[in-house]
Amino acid sequence: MSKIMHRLENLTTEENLSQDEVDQLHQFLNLLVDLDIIEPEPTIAKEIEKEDEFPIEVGLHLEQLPSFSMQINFPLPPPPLETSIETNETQFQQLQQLLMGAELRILNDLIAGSRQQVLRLEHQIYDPQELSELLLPRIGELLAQKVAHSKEEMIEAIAPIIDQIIQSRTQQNRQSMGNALASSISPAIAQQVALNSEELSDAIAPTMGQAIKKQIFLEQDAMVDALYPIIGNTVGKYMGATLDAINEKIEQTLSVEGITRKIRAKMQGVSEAELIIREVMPSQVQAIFLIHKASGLVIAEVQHPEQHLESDMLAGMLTAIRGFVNDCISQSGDLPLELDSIDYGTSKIVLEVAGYCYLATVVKGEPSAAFIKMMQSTLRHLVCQYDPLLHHFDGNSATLPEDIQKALEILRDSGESAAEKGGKPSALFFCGLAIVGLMAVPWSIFQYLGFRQQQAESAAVAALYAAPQLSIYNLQVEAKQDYLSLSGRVPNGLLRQKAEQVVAVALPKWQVKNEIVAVEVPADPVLAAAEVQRVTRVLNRLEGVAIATRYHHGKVWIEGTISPLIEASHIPQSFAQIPGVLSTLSTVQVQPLRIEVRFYFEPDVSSLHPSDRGYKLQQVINFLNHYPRQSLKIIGYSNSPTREPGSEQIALDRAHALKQALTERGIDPSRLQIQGSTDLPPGVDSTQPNWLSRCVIVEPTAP
Amino acid sequence: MSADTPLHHVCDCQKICLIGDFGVGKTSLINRFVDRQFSDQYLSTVGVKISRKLIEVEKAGTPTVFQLLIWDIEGSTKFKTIAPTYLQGAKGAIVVADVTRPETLEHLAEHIERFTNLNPQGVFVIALNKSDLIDPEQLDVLLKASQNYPLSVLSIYSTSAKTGIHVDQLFQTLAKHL
Ligand SMILES: Nc1nc2c(ncn2[C@@H]2O[C@H](COP(=O)(O)OP(=O)(O)OP(=O)(O)O)[C@@H](O)[C@H]2O)c(=O)[nH]1
Ligand SMILES: [Mg+2]
Repeated sequence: MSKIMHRLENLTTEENLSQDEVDQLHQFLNLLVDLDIIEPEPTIAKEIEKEDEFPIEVGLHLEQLPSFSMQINFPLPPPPLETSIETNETQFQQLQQLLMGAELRILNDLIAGSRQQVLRLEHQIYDPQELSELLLPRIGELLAQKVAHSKEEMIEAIAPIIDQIIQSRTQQNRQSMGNALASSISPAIAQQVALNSEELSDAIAPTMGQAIKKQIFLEQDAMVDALYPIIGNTVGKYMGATLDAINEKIEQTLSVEGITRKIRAKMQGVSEAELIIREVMPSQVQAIFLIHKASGLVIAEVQHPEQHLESDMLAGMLTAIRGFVNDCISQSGDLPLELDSIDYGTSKIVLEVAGYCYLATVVKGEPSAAFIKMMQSTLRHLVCQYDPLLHHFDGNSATLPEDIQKALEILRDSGESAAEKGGKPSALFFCGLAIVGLMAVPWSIFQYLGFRQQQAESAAVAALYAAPQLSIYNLQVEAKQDYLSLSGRVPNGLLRQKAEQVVAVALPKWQVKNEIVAVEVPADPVLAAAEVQRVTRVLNRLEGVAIATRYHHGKVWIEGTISPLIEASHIPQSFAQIPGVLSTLSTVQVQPLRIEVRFYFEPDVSSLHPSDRGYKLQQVINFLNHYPRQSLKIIGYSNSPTREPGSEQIALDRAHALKQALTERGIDPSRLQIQGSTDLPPGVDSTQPNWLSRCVIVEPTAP
Repeated sequence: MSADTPLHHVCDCQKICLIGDFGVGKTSLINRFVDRQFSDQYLSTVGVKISRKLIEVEKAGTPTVFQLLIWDIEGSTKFKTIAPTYLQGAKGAIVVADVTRPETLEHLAEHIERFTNLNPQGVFVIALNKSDLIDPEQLDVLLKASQNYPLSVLSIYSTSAKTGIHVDQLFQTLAKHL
């Protein structure tokens, strides 16, 4: 700056400027200084610096003119200078004029041009159409950048309008919106189910019913397929719950069929609904098992020839389930709950328990009440007749009397015949009814009586058939209004009496009129001989019986052995009942029970050999447990040829050792009697090795 | 029995049980004996599972054949003992312990006692199972240490359902004494 001043000074002197011109120049210089365009002379500058605590800055950035950011800064209130802004401005304009009159015009044009541009830009920004056109090519990039940069901000920004966006888009084009969302819908629902399934169910529940209805309407088969696996179980429960409802409905329907059914239901004492179900589903007995209650072993069975069931496994599992119900479901204190039936598909396993066994019947369809009664009476009969045998059933069904098997067969047949009889009369009945509608009442009474009679008849026949002595005679039972009439022929009065008794026990509510004739049939020797053989076989099947018989001219010779547990007089009695047998001659011997176990000892030792404490000892215990009324004589032997003193004591000690061992295993000592002997044990002679005579033997004795 | 009822059940059946703590290998022993199979998977038995096998043993010199009904009973735990009804009517039991879990060996006597209370004539064989998992010396020590069992215990075997060792003997011995 000072250089300029100098040059100005110099100019005045060197170039001879007029005073006017110099003044003008000075003015200009001052102005420049004032405007801070140049620096004043050092002295002046100092002066100004002192006062000038609030300098005015006027930055005129000429080079930036084309841009629209012209800045004029007034950082603080204007300073108390002698030059005001207005003067400044006029001076400024003067200066401009002075300096660049021509350029200024160009400049102005430029500014006007840029203003135009600015306006256009503004227009572009504020007019959405224009803006979107402007931004469109870049928007993706921009958004991506923004998202990468600060996601939250972006979310915050969009959140308030996102629903509107979706809504309006959906209005515009549902299809494409659907396409876009489709793939994410199911994961979204899954997620919601995981997070808060209740909320979701609340949301869906109200329309669920309708939705299902609609779907059924649209595509019934698919719906059935989908629901089938769970429906089976549900229907059972549903049926139970709606039986009442069905009944109510029927109450109001006054069809002929409805009325007759109603009457029948009243008569038979079952609900109409049950009758309807029975009409639709005739039952069929598929298998009957008699099962040992404790072990689950099959005692006897009858099965449908085509659909053979795995009886052993079935019986075992049934027993386990029964046990489970008894043990775990029953409340303590109450009577144990019984498992009555197991339903599966359209079949059912009906259980009847008594004594040491239970009957399990597999029935297809709904078993009739009559059949269940039959089951009960069959089981009662079996239990009364064979209880001890059933109790001690040890898994071998060949040891049991054939009657048990027979009884099951009769039961099955009765089940089948009931099903057959059930169908026909009711069809007949309906015909009759259609013709004479008003006669419904007497007819149905007849029908009811017929049903009740049928039931009684088959029960009585079953009972007679199941009684061993009577099963071979063809006895008829006819149920009349209020009594049962028995007819047929038996060879003696005893059997006649027996038949009446059997029926009376099986059907305690019925009067029995005994029209059976006891005929003294002239003995048919062939029949009698066959019968003798049959009875012999039956008796031999009993445990402990081994007999042989011969029949000749009305006389039976019996020989053989029986165990002491069997009443010896029963044997000849059984034969005496056979028609054609006039007398019996028995040489049957009671064979003592035996246990073929011997315990051997070392010389001079009286304690049991450790190895004998296992299996051998167990055999003795098994025997005692099997025959709880038997006692044992335990005889110790210590034979010495020289008759040493003390050997008697050793013999006794040996017997005592066994008694001790048995007592330790829980045998009542009062059943054990000991004895010592220095003789040779039975079956051993002095030529045999010595050790054979150092032993203890056991002999069963009656108590 | 008679010819006209071919489906009539003629069977000599015997029920036995497998008892012991959970996870000792009862189910595995049965699978080995009946199906000749073994699986490393552990599927705990719930309730009972019944298997059967026709078995031939020599009883008093004569060979006899009968059906063995094998009840695989769920293992007992600290909180749950075996339901007594499952044990009823069994002639014998195989009592199983796991040689790698000493507490299962200690519980053997309890299992025997519980079974005997229900079936006084019951006989037992003991299976010290998973013998493939420990070395033979250790096994010897275990076998020697476990001798104080009641007389109804016919025999003690170290078995492995995995290798099959002594599994057949286990069942045969019990079957023979039923
Ligand atoms: N290494 C080996 N593993 C065995 C053996 N026996 C069983 N296991 C394994 O032990 C686990 C339990 O066997 P399970 O037979 O199911 O046991 P469990 O006694 O029936 O068990 P619960 O039914 O729960 O009482 C299974 O993973 C078997 O694979 C064996 O002899 N050796
Ligand atoms: Mg198991």
